[in-house]
Amino acid sequence: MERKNITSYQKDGFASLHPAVQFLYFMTVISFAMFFRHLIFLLLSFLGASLYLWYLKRKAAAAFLGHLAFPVIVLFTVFNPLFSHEGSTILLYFPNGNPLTEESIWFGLHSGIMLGCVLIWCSCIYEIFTSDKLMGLFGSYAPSFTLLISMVFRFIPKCYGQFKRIREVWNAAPQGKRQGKRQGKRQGKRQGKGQGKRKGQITRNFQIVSIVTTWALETSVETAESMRARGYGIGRRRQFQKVFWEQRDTFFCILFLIGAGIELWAIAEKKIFMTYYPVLRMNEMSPGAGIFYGIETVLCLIPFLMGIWEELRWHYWKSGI
Amino acid sequence: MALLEIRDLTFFYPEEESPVLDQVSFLVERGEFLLILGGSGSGKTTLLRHMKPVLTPHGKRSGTVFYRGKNITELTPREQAQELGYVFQNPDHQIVTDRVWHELAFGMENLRMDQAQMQLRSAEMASSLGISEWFSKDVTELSGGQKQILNLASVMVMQPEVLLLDEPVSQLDPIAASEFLEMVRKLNQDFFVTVIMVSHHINEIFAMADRVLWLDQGKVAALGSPREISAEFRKKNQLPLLPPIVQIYEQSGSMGNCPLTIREGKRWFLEELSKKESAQEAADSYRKETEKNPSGENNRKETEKKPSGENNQKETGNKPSGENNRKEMAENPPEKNNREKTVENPSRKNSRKAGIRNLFRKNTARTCEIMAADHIYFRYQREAEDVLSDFSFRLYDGECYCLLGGNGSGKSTALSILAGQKKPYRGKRKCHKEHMAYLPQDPQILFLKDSIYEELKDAKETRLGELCQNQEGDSVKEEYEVWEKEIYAMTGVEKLFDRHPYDLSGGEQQCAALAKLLLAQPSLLLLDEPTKGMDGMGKKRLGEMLWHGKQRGITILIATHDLEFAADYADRCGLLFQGKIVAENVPSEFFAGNRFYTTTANRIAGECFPEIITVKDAVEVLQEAWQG
Repeated sequence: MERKNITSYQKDGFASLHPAVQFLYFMTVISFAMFFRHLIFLLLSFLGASLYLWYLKRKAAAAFLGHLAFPVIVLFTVFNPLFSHEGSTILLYFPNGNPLTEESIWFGLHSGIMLGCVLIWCSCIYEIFTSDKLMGLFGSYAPSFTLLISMVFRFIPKCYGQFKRIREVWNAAPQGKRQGKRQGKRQGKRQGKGQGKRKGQITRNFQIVSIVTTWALETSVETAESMRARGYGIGRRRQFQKVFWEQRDTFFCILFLIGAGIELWAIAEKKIFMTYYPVLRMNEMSPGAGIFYGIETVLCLIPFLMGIWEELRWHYWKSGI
Repeated sequence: MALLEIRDLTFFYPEEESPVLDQVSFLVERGEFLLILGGSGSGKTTLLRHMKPVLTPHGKRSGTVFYRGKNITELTPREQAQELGYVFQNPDHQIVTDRVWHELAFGMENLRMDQAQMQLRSAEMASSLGISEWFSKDVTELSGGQKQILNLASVMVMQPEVLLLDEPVSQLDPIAASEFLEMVRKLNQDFFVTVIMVSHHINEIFAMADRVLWLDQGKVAALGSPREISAEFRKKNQLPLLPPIVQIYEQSGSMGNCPLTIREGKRWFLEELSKKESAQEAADSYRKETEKNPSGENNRKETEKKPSGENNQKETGNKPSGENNRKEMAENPPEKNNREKTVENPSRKNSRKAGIRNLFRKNTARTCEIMAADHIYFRYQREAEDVLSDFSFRLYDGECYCLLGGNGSGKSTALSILAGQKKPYRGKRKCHKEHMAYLPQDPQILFLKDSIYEELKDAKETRLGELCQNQEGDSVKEEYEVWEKEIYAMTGVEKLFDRHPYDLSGGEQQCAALAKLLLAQPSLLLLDEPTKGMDGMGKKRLGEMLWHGKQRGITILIATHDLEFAADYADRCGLLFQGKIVAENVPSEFFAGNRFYTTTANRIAGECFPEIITVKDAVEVLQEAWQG
C-alpha cells in the first residue's frame, strides 16, 4: 500500500483547513450531489470535483476521469433506458415491445453523472484525507480506534514489504528458479509448456504468504512488548493533537454554512426543482435561479479556487522577490 | 543507595534444567554507563529484561532486583513506563504507529498527559535529537538508523531515569550506529541518564562505558572498568569479544596501560616503539661497524620506524648486543620500503602475506574467472540516480572477495545484480558457474518452513534429486552424506534442528541459512553483510566456515562494511564508490597507506608498518620486537 508524500498536500489552502471542516464540506457536497435531483447542480458539482482532482493529481486526474468517471456515465446512460421504461415521451419500441423513453435517458445520464461525481469527490478525499487527519478528527473521542487505524497503516506496508523482499530473493534464488524450470521442461512435454513453472510459482507464493503470516505474528509480539514497555494498557489514552482549530476555520465554516443553507432553502421551497418522471420538468431560468446556481458554483469550486489562489499568490511573491 | 541493585538473581526458562542467569549480583549507580557483554546465549537479554518488569520472561526465578531500594516488581505500571525506558534490537518491529509524530507521542498518550505537556515534550525531544525534519513523515520513509533514533526518542520523551538498550545498533550500518551511540552517550553525559546496554558493536562503546559486565553462561564472569576487565577475557580465551585495539594489547602481552580508543592505541604503540629506540640505536651503530651493511639509508629508516621490545633495555644490558642484533636482523627485515624485500625474505611474518599474494598471482594466471560484469549501469527508477555506473568486476575461481564500501555505495545492489536478481539497464553480467547461492542481509528471508530440520531436508532432497538425475548409484549419495556431515559439523546446526527459524538468534539464523545454502553444494557463494549483528566470536566462527568452504573449492563474494573481517579473511578486497570499483587489491596492499578507510590495527601501526592490517599482524610485530 503506497501512500504519497503528505507534505506536498499540506501546502494546499483547502487541505490545510481543520479536518472537521473538510469532513463537513465533503459530506455536504456529496449529499447535495446525491439528493438534489437537479442536473445543473450536479454538473456544477461534477465540475468542481474534477477541477479539484485535477489540481491535486494533474495528469493522473485525467486518467481517473477517462477510465472511471466517463465510462460510468456512458454505462448508466445506455443501460437505464434498457431497463427502465417510465416516462411519457416515447422515442421508439424495442423488439420485445418495451418503449424507449426520453426521460429514462435523461435519468440515466443523471444517475451516471451523480455516481461519477461522488467517485471523484471520494477520490479527492482519499488524496487529502491522510491518516493524520483521521487522527485529528476522531482522536479525542475514540483514541483507541484511531490508534488501531494508525497501527493498521503501519502494519500493511510492513508486511507487504517483507513479502516483496522474500519473493525477490526466491524468484532469483537458484533453487527456486531451477526447480521451476526443470519441472516446466519435464512436464512441458505432457501438459503444455510453462504449466509446471506456473504451478511452482503459485505454490511458492502460497509458501511465502504463509511465512509472512508467521513473520507478522512474530514481529507483532515484539511490537506488543514495545507497547507495553511504553505504558500501553495502564488506563485511558489521551490522543496527541496535531491539528488545531484556527480562526480561518471558523470563517470558512460560517460562509460555507450560509451558502449551503441558502441552497437547502431553495430546494425545500421549490425555488429550484427538476423532475424526470413522468415528464422532464425544470424550474425556469430566472435571475433568482441564476443566483442559486452561482452560489452552488462557488460552493463546489471552493477547494479548487483556494488552491489556485494560493498558487497565484506564491507565484506573485516569487516574482516580487 | 544504588539506583539498581540486582541481588542473587537466578532464572530458569520453563522446562529447562540449566539456569540462564546464575547468582547474578551487581549494583548500578545513578548516571552510570554499564555495558553488558557476553557470547550468544549467555543470558544478556534475559538479564536486561529483568530490569523492566513488564518484559520479564516467565520462568522460575529467585533473587531480587531493587530499584531505588524498592523491589522492582512493586513499581506501578505507570512508574515502570515512565522510569525505565527500553529500546529493542530491531528498529522496525518496535514501531507501533504509522507516523513519526504519533510514535513519539505514543508513550505520553498512554500516560494520559495533558495536551500542552505532550506538545512541549515532543517538541523538546524532536529538537534535541534532531528529528524535527522528519516529524510529520511516514515511518516507512525512514532509514534504519533514523528508525532506531525515533525509538530512542519515543522512549526518552517519557523522561526515564534508566535507559535499557538491547543490542540497539546490531541492525544498523556503522555510520548510523555511531550516530546512535553518540546520541546515547550524550544522553548519559549531558542529561545524567543511567544507561545499561547490551551490545556486540563494541568498538566505540567499550571506551564509552564506565563499567563492563561480562556474562558467561549466565554468571558474572567479570565486572569492572574497561581497562581492568580485558585480562579476564584473555584468561578464558574469549578475546574476540573485545575491540581489536584491546585484543592487540592483550595478545601482545599487555605492557603498559590498556588503550581503549584508537588515539590511545596509537600513542601506546608509538611509546612502545620509542622505548626501544635507544637500545635500537646502540644496536644499529654496532651493526654498522660489524657487518658494514651497504644500505645505510635503509638502516636509518629502520631506526626510525623499527618496532622495539619495550622492556629490553635490560635485556640489551644482559645479552651481548651483537647477538641480539643479528637475531633481529634475521627475524625483522626492514619493514618500510620493502615490497620486493618482503617477498625475497621468507623468514618474517610478511612471508605469510607474500605467500598469499604469490599464490593469488599464480592462481589468477592459472584459474579462470567465474564471474564477470562489464560496465554495468543500474538505477531503481527512471528518474533516480544511478546506483551503479560503469561497474566492472571480475571474480576468479576459488577466491574470497570482499566488496567494501560506505553506506549507500551500492554494495547490496551490486551483489543482487551479480546474483541475477536485478537486471542492469546497460552492461553485461556473465556467470560461468551455475550453482550460485545467495545469502541476503536478513537471512530470515530464506526460511519458508516450520523448523530448521525441514528447511534443511528440503534443500538436501533437492540437491540429491539433481545429483541422482545426472548419475546413478549409491556412491553419489555416500559422497553427499559426507558433505552433509561436514556442513553440520562446521555450522553446528544440528542442535537447532527442532527450533523454528524465527526463534533463533541472529547468529544462529546466519549459521542455519549458510548450512541450507551449502547443502545445495554451490560453487559460488554470495553473502550480503554476513557479519551484521554478530559478536567477535560469531565473526570468527563465520570466517572459519567460509575458509572451510573455500578449501572445498567454493568461490566466495562478500559485501560488507566490516573492514576487520575483510582484512582477516579476504583474498582480495574492492572498494565500491559511486557505483564503481575504485580500488582493488589483496588486503595487505589494499589497506596499506589508507589512513581513514582501514582497520584498527592498520590505523595504529600503519604509519610504521603499512602492511599490518590484522590484529594478528600487529601482535606478531610487537611480540617479535619485544623478544628481539
